[in-house]
This record gives sequence, C-alpha cells and structure tokens, in this order.
Amino acid sequence: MDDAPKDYGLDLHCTLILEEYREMLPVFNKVRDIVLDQLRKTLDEAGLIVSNVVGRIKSEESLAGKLELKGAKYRTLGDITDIVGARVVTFYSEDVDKLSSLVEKHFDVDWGTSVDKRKLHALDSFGYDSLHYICRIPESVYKDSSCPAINTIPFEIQMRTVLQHAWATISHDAGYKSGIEVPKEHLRNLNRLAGLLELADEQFSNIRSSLNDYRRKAHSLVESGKFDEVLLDGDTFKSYLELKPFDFLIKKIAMINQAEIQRTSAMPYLKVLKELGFNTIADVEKMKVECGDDAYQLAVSQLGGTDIDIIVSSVAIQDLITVYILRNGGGKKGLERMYEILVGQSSYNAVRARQVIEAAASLPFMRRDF
Amino acid sequence: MELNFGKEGILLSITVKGRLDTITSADFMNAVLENLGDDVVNVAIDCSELTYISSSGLRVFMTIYKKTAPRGGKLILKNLTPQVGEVLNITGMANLFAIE
Repeated sequence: MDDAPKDYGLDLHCTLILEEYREMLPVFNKVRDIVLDQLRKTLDEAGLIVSNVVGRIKSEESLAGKLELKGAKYRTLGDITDIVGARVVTFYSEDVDKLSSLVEKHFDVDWGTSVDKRKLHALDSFGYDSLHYICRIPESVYKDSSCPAINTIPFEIQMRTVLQHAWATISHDAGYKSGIEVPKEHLRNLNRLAGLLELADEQFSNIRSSLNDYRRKAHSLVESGKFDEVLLDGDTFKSYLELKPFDFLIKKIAMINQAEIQRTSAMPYLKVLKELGFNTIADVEKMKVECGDDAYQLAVSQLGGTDIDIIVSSVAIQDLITVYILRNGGGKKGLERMYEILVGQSSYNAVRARQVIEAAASLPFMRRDF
Repeated sequence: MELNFGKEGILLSITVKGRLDTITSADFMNAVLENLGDDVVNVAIDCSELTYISSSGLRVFMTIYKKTAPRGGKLILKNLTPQVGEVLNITGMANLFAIE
C-alpha cells in the first residue's frame, strides 16, 4: 500500500504548510473537541436552545485547493484561521447576538479578523448573513502544558439562524460561493430569497416575542385571579393548574376512604373543556363552584361502598366535568364523547358512561331542573 | 392468581387470572418488576379472567404506568370485566390507560 502523501502539485512554500497541517492534525482534532464541548456546555448553562452545533477540520484536499488559489497570502499555517471550524445554528436571529456574547465571554476573539457579515450588506442588497468569529481557546477554558499549541491555534465559529443556514447551504450547492459563474438572473433570485428569509427571521422573532408577552400577561392575570379576562388555552390552563384549583375537591374525595392521592396531570381535560364551549378560565372556575358539591356527591356514591384507598388527582376534574355534562343534558352520549377525547375510541367508553349514569341516577342533581 | 408473561420486541404481554388482592398483588408487583426491563415500552395486560382488583392491584397498575409513560409507552388493558372497569373509572385511572 502506498502511504506517501498525495502530491497536489503545490510550490515548496505551500507544500511545507500542507506538511505542517498533516503533523498538526491530532492537535486540530483536540481543539475542535474542546471548542464543541465548551460551546455545548455554555449553551446549556445559558438555557439557549439552538438547532445544532457542529464542528469540522478542513480536509487536506480543501486546504490544498485553498493554498493553490491563494497560498502566497499565508506566511505560515497559523495564518489560516478556518482549519478548525464550529458552527452554531440558532432558531431566532436575536439568539445569534446572545450566542456571540457567550462566545466572547468564553473564548479569546480575534477582533482583527472576525466579521459580522450581517452588517456588510449595502442598504439595497441581500445575501449571505452570518456572524464569523476567529477565536482561540483561553487557558481558563483549557490548559495542557505539554501542548501549548491548543491555546494558540485559531479556529472559526460561524453563528447563523436556521434560515440563514438554509440559504447558505443551498446557495453553496448552487455554486454561488465556489467561483463557478452563476447566471445573473439566478443570482438575483438567490438574493431575493435572502431578503425574503431575512424578513421571515424577523417575523419569527416578532411572533416569539408577542407569544412570550402574551404568556407573561396571561400568567399574571391568572395569578391575580382575574379569570374572566383570561382566554382558555394551553398556556393559561397550565398557569391555572399551578394554582391547584382542584386540590380542595380531590382532598375531600380522598377523605371518603382515607385514600392515597397519586398526582396526575389535568392538562388532557383542556380538550374536553374546549369542546364543551369553555372560553375563559372564569368558565372553568364557574364549573368548579357550581358543580363542586355534586361532583363530591358523585364520588361518594361511587367510592363510598368500597374499600378503595387509592385515587388519581385528575379524578376531581373528571367528576366535575361529568356532573357538568349530566346537568346540561349531555347524558350518556356526552360522557362517551368525553372519554373518546381523553382515551380515544373504545367499546368500553359506552360501558363506562352507563355505569356512571347508574351511579349518579339517585343523586339530587340528576332530578333538579337547571 | 395465575400470571403469564410474554415479550415481543418492546411489548410486554401479561395475562392475569384470578384475584389481585392485598396478598396476591405483592407477587404480581415482584413479577412485573422482574419482567419490566429498560427495553420494554408498552405493557398489555389481558384482564379477561381478572375477577377482582383491590387498591394493591391498582398500585401495581400505577407503577407500570409510571414506568412506561416517560418512555412514550402505554399500559393497555384488554378485555376488562365491568367490575374491574368500574373500579378504574371511579379512581380516575381509566383515563390514564388504553382500554381495549
């Protein structure tokens, strides 16, 4: 087998750089691993959720190609700053800025070579948007006296959004950045898309920001008990459940047989409430107040004659909704529909509904005219 | 009480015959824990010959549910008798399990 290094036909200067690259490969791998570990740890600590974090070492072929094109520009291997690279792809454009602050905090950024390509465009142009930092690993992050090069090797961190990344990848595939001539018409279309994606990035950020504002406001209204102002949805119902609104009823039901309460989520019941036409948290609260006593009576009629001493906490909302459906004339079909929403279609749903109606038949609320 | 266990891929199938009361549920719990390995995602229990279930038996069901739910799995109860079904309903558990 021929182990001789591949000859790329480079001049002596570039060949020496390539040889140094081959010798340094284990160190480059080490630098890449340290950088990726540190990035992932930093993102995790900051609670910044990103699409992905990847790292790479420039291939020998790619480096040889670069040297062939502009080898004279580089005095030494150390002048080539993108042999080790990492890329972090964020979901939102403002996260690129948050990420850059974290990178500045944890790595030594070379401000002489780092570029914010997002700011390079003229007012009337669109194209490649990405933030590129050339960094080094500070000793505070990693130190190995036997290999000081780890702290001197430059590496590139590219930071961009998912949409910027999609544009860059597809443009690259189309030959936009590889020096292949792209017809003007296609270039214009690519740049139009870049503008469109920039707008989309902005809109995604606006949507996230508005949603966060809405959630904060709704949470605060729920906490302050202004239920009639709070529309019923997944976020507001979750905030409402944090107030443990059904705890009084579930503890009362548990007292029937001194039962142990196993905690389970009441969130699945949101779909049932929405189908019953509940629009605000106040509607849920009203059901709790109006049906609470009857729900307890229903539980007594079911559990009272048994020695069952274990229940799940969501039985409280289950009994409340059961009473609500029966009081409002929903009958067996109404109960079956509730079970179908909660557990899907099953022949057992009809059996359950019949058993509940039989248990409730003698209770006062079934005879009341509402 | 008579128990039978079978495993097919990520599904653990159990057949329970007889009563799950305070005494038998302890054996049921031990047998379940022995068979409920990390690779089990779904558990199906054939209850067609389960004649009675006490709170102790319900606790075993809840243990299975709490182990399988975080794995994205389900506890499937098959062929429930009306009596056992009613117990599950009045405890609120019927909405946690898949009942076939």
